[in-house]
Amino acid sequence: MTVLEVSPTTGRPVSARPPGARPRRSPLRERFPGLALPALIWYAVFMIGPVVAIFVIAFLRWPGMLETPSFAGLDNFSVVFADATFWAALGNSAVQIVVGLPIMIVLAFLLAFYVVQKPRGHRVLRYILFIPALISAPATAMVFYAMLNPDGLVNGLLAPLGLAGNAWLADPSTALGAIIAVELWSGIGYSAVLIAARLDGVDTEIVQAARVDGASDWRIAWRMYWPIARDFVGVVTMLQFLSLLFNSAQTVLLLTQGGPGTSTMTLSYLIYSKAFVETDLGYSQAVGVVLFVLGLLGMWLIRRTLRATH
Amino acid sequence: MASRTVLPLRDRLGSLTSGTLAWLYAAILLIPFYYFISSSFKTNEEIFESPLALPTSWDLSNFATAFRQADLGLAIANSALTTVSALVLTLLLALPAAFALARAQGRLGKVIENVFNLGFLIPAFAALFPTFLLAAAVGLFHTRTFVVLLLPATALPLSIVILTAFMRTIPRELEEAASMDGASTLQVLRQVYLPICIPGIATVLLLNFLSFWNAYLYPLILIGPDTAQRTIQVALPTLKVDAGTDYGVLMAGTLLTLLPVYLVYTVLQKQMQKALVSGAVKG
Amino acid sequence: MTDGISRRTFLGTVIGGGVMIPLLTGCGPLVPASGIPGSISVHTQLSGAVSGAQVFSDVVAAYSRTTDRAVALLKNGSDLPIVFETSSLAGKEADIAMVNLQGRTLSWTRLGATIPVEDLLDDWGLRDKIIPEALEEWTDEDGHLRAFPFTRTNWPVSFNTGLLAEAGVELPTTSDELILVADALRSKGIGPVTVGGSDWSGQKLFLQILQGFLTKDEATRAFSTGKLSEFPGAVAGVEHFVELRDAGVFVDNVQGYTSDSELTQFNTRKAAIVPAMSSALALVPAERAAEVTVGGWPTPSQGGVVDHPTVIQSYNGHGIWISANGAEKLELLKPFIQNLYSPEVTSEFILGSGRDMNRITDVVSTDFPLVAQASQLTTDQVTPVMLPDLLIPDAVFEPMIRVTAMAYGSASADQIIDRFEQAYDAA
Repeated sequence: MTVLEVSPTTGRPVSARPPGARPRRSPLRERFPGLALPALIWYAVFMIGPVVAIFVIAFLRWPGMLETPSFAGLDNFSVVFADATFWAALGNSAVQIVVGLPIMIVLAFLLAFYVVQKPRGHRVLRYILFIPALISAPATAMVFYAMLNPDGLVNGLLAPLGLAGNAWLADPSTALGAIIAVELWSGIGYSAVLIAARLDGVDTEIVQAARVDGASDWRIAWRMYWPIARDFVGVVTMLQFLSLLFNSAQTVLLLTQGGPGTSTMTLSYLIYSKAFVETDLGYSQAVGVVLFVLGLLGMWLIRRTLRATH
Repeated sequence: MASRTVLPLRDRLGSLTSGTLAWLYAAILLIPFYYFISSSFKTNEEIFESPLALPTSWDLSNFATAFRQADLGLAIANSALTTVSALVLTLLLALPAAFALARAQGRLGKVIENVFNLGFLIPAFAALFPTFLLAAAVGLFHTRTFVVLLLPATALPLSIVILTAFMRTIPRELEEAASMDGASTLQVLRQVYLPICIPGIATVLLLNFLSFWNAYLYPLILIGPDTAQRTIQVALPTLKVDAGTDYGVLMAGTLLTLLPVYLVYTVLQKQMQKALVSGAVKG
Repeated sequence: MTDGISRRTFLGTVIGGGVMIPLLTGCGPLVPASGIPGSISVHTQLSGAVSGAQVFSDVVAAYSRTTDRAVALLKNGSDLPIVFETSSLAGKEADIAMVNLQGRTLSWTRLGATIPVEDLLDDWGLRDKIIPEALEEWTDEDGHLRAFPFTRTNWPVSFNTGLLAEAGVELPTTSDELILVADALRSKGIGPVTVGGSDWSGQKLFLQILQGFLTKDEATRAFSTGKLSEFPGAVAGVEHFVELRDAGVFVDNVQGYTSDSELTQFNTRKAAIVPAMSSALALVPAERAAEVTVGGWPTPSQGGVVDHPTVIQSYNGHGIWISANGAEKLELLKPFIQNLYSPEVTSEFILGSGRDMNRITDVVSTDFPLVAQASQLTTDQVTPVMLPDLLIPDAVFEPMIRVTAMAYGSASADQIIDRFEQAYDAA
């Protein structure tokens, strides 16, 4: 989009001034954002480069840190798709997202709705809701490690109810659930704060009017707030989707390392494990490619589902 | 407090349930806090016997042990060092870029902006191994320096998006007035744009402070086990040992790890919440 | 609370930060020691809460002080081998690695990540200082000494006699007794045998139980080839394991536990019996140690080939490996390593941390009763069996741990044997 400058005296278009003319800004500089160059280079080297490398290494045979890599064509992919561990990881990641994400977003939305009604203590509630967002993955993991220990807090609380005794992180049937619970614990509050900030923008007079007309909380939440916030909730969902898909590898690394068996092996952890524990680097990056594709697909799906309907 | 009309019982029940659920969740958030803070003052036996009881004595020995065993003092210093350096570098890269993009007219500007926008799609952890190779290639493996150089790159998409949006709000006339008075581009940036962008800069700093301070996986691999260089997030899990973890010490270490962030939060609480919201909105 | 930060404080902080950084990086303890000329770097597993970590730190600090040389200490736990290899790939590995012979480290000498040290053994006058059996264990098939054997470990079984007394039973020495003891303990709500079913600690016990039915020679062949079905003793061993497991000898959910949980359970009296290495015994709190007796894993009541309860005995604790980087600094490494084998340092380790050393010595630990007990078990009380780590090919190690974890779950003997052999084949 070039700017057509109109001469103030004649009213006819004036051609762009050559660079170096003072004091007006040079149009050349306008078209070429030179000051963005350092950032662009930095970004290219540290972000884009490694991502491209994922795709390159996925086609190499590189079975150990100390071994030399060689070209492998599509071998890595055939090994990956034939490996039971990969499918287990895919299944676990799917469960994590299909179960965890909707719960997180729906609960966050309801929580946000509640907070926005400004009930008693809503300021305190907002303060508390935000806290998990501050805590790093290692800190969260260490606290939950202690709590989920067979002799830890969770069992201690459940003991009087007679439900205790489970080794939450050790039992294959509860380990994945435990990991999802950790992610939900930190994710719900954070999402709720974000959504609440968006809901704050909704005109309270309209809401009051609806109440006077006799609308219940449920109707107000889903018929009034939801359509307005839908787009933004979509953004939050995408953020949390990415977080669950990628960042949860840290939680798995800190708590269960994919075990027991493969019950908590997720796709992102598989990438880490294959690279830095088993050092099958070609395999690892092949899974990286798969994950990248799945990430894109997921984002697209979420966008379609939660796009604001005009 | 806004006055409310009295709702029929059916609806009040609704509020009651959502209220209970909300405070239940708040409790679920707070109980772990209480647990780990009180456990920091207990021994393993006490923690397992009576998890919710208050500590019998306010013994600080667990903190001393955690501090010593994980070299937490050095770790905090390193975290501070890497975080602050990375923040400064982020601003140095993002501010001129946002400035240029906000003022850019051509298609190139749009393209570059989209390139940065796509950054959100990049799967952070999948690129860990290639990033390691990059560090090895430039001879900066196992150094803080590499992490300080890397973190701003990961922060660029969000930072540039936020700052560009802020800079776009500045009316042309202001800038024209300044350059009419003979100001160079750099001076225009400094005197016109920067002061108005302070809220945006604060937002970027707070968001990235959290992100950099809490970074775990990348520093784990890239800085490595050298206690003279490792950050606090990497140091903390070393208190979990194969040979029988002392949970009191582990919890004490966790508390020490969280204190700095919590302090910053309490002081800058409102700004932090605003920052995160505007960050997500722009995202 | 003000809503914004004043412009001045803001800019001041930013600029201040920008200035402070170069100053801070020069600050003493924050400088990576590898940057100092004449320094050596040591990557060690003797770190954190592990017994001997503090002693090692002190020894290194003392050495640094007296010789005025900088020593960088890099600390890791069980992830040391992979971190070391990652550093090797980047050409930045430490000069010395202190880690045991297991899994990945078995291939280091072959791949050139570390250098063989048999020549240095004589040059540096260390041959007559180290237990000959240890040297043998650390030498590979080509006659190369992989590393200087430093600490060693045995793996006795610890019995909490206090808890046993509460259940009204005595220390079991045969498998039938063990099953009865387990029943009695369970009826009192006490866990019988706790072990880290999901990791290496469970794998060790599994292989130890198998050795109750195998001669040393058979065991060597069985574990290096993985063909359990070809050894009737191995098959019997697996069936015996399944029998014990199904009789409730192990605590519930054992297949999910780690070595961390097994020790915590034992130390907090949740379980009565734990097989653990002697260095872990040094960390058992004193009031617990007072009611603990150390012994071996009960002999099989039928069909076993061992006379007494078994204890894994090994010289495979930490070894001092010299890396490719270290090979260029041998004159600097020599005094450091010689210092580690001095009588004073050896005593410090034994008395100060309860570690068993490969250095020939008469010193016995006094403050660590369980460690002393373990080292004083005679062959009239226990039959030593071997630590199979040396025989298991590195590529098989992790897959095998998955198999043993499954074994602690609910698999049948046949399934276990099948998967075990598959683990070897796949590698």
